[in-house]
Amino acid sequence: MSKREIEGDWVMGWPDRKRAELAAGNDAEGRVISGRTPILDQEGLITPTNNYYIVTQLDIPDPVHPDDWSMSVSGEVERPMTLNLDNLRRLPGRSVRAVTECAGNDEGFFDFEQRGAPKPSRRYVPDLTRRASMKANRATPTNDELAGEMGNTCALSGGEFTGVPLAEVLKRAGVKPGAQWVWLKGFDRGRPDPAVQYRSMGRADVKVKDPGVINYDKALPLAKAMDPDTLLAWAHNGEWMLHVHGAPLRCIVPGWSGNWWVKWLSHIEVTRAMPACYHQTEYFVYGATPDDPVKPMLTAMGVRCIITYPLDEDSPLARGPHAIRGLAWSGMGRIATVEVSVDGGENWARAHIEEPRERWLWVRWSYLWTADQPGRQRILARATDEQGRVQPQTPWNYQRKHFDGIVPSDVTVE
Amino acid sequence: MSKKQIEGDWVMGWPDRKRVGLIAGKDAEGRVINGRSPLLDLEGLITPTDAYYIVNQLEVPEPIHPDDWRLTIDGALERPLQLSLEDLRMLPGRTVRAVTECAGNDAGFFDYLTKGGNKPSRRNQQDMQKRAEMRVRGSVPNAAEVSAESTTTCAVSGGEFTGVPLFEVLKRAGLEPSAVAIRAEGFDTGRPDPAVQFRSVGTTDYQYVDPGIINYDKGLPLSKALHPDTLIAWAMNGEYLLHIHGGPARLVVPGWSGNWWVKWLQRLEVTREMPACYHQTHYFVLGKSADDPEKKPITTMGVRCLITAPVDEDSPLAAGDHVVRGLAWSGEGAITRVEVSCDGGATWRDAHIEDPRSRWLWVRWSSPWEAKPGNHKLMARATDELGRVQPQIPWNFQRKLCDWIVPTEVIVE
Repeated sequence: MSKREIEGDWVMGWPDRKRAELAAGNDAEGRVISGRTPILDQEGLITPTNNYYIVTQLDIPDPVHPDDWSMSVSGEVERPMTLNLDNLRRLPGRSVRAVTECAGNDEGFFDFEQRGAPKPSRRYVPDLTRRASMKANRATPTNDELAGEMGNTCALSGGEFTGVPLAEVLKRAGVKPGAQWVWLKGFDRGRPDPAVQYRSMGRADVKVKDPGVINYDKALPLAKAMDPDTLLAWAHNGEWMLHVHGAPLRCIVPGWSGNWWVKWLSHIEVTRAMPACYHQTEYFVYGATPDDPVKPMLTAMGVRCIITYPLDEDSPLARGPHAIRGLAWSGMGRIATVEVSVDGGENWARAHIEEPRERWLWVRWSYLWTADQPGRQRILARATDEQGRVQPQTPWNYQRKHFDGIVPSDVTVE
Repeated sequence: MSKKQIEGDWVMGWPDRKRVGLIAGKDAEGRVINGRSPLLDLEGLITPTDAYYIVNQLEVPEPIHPDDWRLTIDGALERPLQLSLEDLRMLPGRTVRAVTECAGNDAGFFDYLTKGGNKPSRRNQQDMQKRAEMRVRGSVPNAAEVSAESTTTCAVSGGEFTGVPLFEVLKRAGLEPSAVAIRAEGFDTGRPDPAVQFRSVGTTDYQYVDPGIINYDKGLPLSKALHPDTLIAWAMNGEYLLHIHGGPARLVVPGWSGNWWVKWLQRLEVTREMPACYHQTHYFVLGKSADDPEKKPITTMGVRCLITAPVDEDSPLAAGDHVVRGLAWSGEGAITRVEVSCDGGATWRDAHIEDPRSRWLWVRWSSPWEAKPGNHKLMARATDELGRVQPQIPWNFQRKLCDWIVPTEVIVE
């Protein structure tokens, strides 16, 4: 190298850039139990598997050997069945590329935008090892720790998933008339950590219901379960699904937040009435307050657009041309337009959306900006999806889920 | 885990399956200089970056810091340019998913299917370390080594590449009307290894032309250079391009074999005639023999379809329900049809092609098969959106771009 060594990693024996890495939390045995994606440092569409974010409500189970694993399909079906991985792989498969996003990603921006709280940093990543130890001790977070706890712009990733449409399995089992719900159950168990909900609400003074030790489960409405892009997936980014991501089989529910993507699947039960899954009735629900009598479950995500460059932290910027860059995606389909404002929202111009524009994966976009005015500048970006939905779609809610507001980049030009 | 531990890797602290890795060869300093993809053990479309195949004609160069790197665009242009990576990133970008395939992948099947003899194994795993050491020493393989060599179903990968279309750069530089080709030059240099060509032609009795030490270069015809999916790419599979894969920037030429995907780009020279690049006049050419006056550079790949399961080595199979599975792709566009024969080619039926069907990336396909006891010859053939059916590429003396139909031969008990 000419001027200086690359200050990075040795990759395959060669000096190279620093490869972006998962920010991980390990348990006492050194096992990763949580992780955040350095999305601002990635370049491209797919997030490498080793950097894919990891959020788990209960305890990560011991792995089941793929040869020993099977899954039952029961309930309101004509032909209940038990399927092993080989049985599933005989069905007509499919790959889907989609954004996986934690329902709580960027939650801290709700309070900034709607309650005048200080502006969180897009680069804020919580100390996950401390978090892991708090989880082991069931420690209650302090008020300081409750402020922006999910971390910003790091509990989301883009992946390629290979498996079989859930519909193909349901078709073979024969859904009986009147059935409405597809209840997905994982073999991960545990007692929900109340600290997770305290962090979500940003307060620890609300009583959180304790269901005891449960298996993780979610009940998918039949229509979404029958969508051909809703998959039972055994592969991720070109290799077999890793245990930490839900192997042998996890559900892929494109457009719906990560809590729907049930990992470590062991049972599918078709039902007439919605089962009272804890993570669908007590947590991952909308509502204005904890006492709100109507708390609908979260489903499709809103419309999302983030500026990945420049961030507030990139200030001061040199005068001259800059490419404002970012990602946009939606829970309801393709992104149609991205608009950028460099004057705090008075004027908007179309950004260039890079091909390919896929239904469930984000798009990269850019806008060429000549920064010729020194001083403070506020840059905004907003996306519209093919349904005509413009951000923001999701109102403030007490669990601060599905934030899709427009977050400005505030920068200084020299 | 219930019955037995997974005999694999510890991944993120958990016992897991064995993760498939690159089959790599290293130089004396422990630097990877070649690699093969364990394609049959991967599952999905994209090949993970750390398992992406690596073939280099010349020496892997010392890395250039991305901040120090410049791309020179000159020749038959109105406005010659010199661009930094940041300059490139200001242009309207694009991402393309495509199969990268070495022109010599599966070369051994040409001989097997014309002359018989030993059938190359799809699971053939070359000793890449031995190959690397021979290369470093400059040793010439003997006749036995040359005939035993077969790069089978491992010099091919599927990737996601992010960058800027080459035409966006050329548009800004302003092509002169006389332009016919873009000579893409890497900053990798070296003397072409004669052993590479001996292996390709399958004999050491071959007149190797020694150009001395050169930079790697290829002259891309203008029509392909202007295709919007032909990229200058700085990212692969969601991260910045690794040095070993051609960082800071490489060409991505979807549908054309890997030798066109010039790595470590340093110069794009617009030329008024086709340049006589060594790796398109002496090597990577199609012809009946070394003396063939009709020899021409290889360009577009044919139509490819391979059976990933079962492979010959899976014999004996139990009688009963099986699925014949594989991958199919083409140098000219999306795959529209895959047909499978379980009786040696007498009857064919359509396989299920899995979505998504991308233009340049392979598709996964499958076909159920009820296996009865006996010997079976399974075949699969693909058709692309231009109606091209395999095989498209005739036998050629450098054994490039083999796209013939290779049967799987299995015994069912």
